[in-house]
Amino acid sequence: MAVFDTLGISGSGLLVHRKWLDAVSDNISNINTATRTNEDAFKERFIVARAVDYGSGEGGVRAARAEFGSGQGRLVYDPTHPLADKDGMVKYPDIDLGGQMTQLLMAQRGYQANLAVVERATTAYQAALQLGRR
Amino acid sequence: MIGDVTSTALHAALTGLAERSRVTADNIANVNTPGFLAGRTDFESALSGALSNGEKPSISRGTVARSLEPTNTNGNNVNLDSETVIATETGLRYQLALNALDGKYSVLRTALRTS
Amino acid sequence: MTSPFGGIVPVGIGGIAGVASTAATTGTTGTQATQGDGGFAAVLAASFDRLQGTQSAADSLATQAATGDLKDVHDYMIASNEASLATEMVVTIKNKAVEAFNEIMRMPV
Repeated sequence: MAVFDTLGISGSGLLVHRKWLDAVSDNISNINTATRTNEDAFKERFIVARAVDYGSGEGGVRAARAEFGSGQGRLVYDPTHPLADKDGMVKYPDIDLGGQMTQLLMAQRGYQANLAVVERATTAYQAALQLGRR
Repeated sequence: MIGDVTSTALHAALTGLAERSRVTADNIANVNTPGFLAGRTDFESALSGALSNGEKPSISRGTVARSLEPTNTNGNNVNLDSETVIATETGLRYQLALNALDGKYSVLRTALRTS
Repeated sequence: MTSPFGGIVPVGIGGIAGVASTAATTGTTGTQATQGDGGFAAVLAASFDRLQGTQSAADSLATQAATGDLKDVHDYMIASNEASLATEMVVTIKNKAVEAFNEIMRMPV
């Protein structure tokens, strides 16, 4: 049904935005994860979103895959750290907290917008069901 | 008229949708249960099959299967967003089927009026 | 969307009065009485045909709604309302015709 197509499309939007939220929360919780200098730092996780059937009207979005940022990280001098190498350097991930918070806001807004579409479509459908009622 | 194919099909749809609503509520309640696989119901296949063969459909709750979608780390594969959308859709289709059945009954009543 | 009731003129007492007046006079107005009957019967027959069409359209859309194949819910709602209104119209015409007939039968000759 036309309204149920809307529900399916918004449902896919909810799914992708939730995955985005998951990725951002994963990045933020690991923002201070230290590793040895000879290993990769924690890699920032990105979700690649792709439109389903772009331009044909079937609509919706899907999370095509997850991409990972660079593992280079930044080196910090901390000789007391248990993972410090012989120079006293430890590797931390190169994740910008400000950028992550911005993404968090965008993901949350996107999620709420899709939820609003679901609610509006439900209201429209129920109004159609009242057609002819006295 | 009474008990014709359309009324029976609508009755079958209502029963199937009510079962789907229950299974979806079960899924949502178990969103954090380790090892829980989401349930999926299907009554549409049996219903369309019976209708395209021209038979009167049977009133059944439909089949319940466990979803084989990928699970997360504790073995649970319930997707809260999908379940929410399914719950909304099931509720709307239930209202539509009720409305349709109500329409049929009221047409019959109108036809029986004598004044 | 064309009006579903185009072509059907609501039958008021005017149509029935035509039949009544010709029935009251005797003999030579036989042909006139037939004309009056034909006019009313044609209207009623047209209403029945339309009714059958709207009811089966509403039924098939209701079946699609049951299996989940209905594309737009308003299609079903419009068809259902049309069927319901068409039924009411036919029943009202029938009831009014029966009432008028009884009135005529009560008239002293």
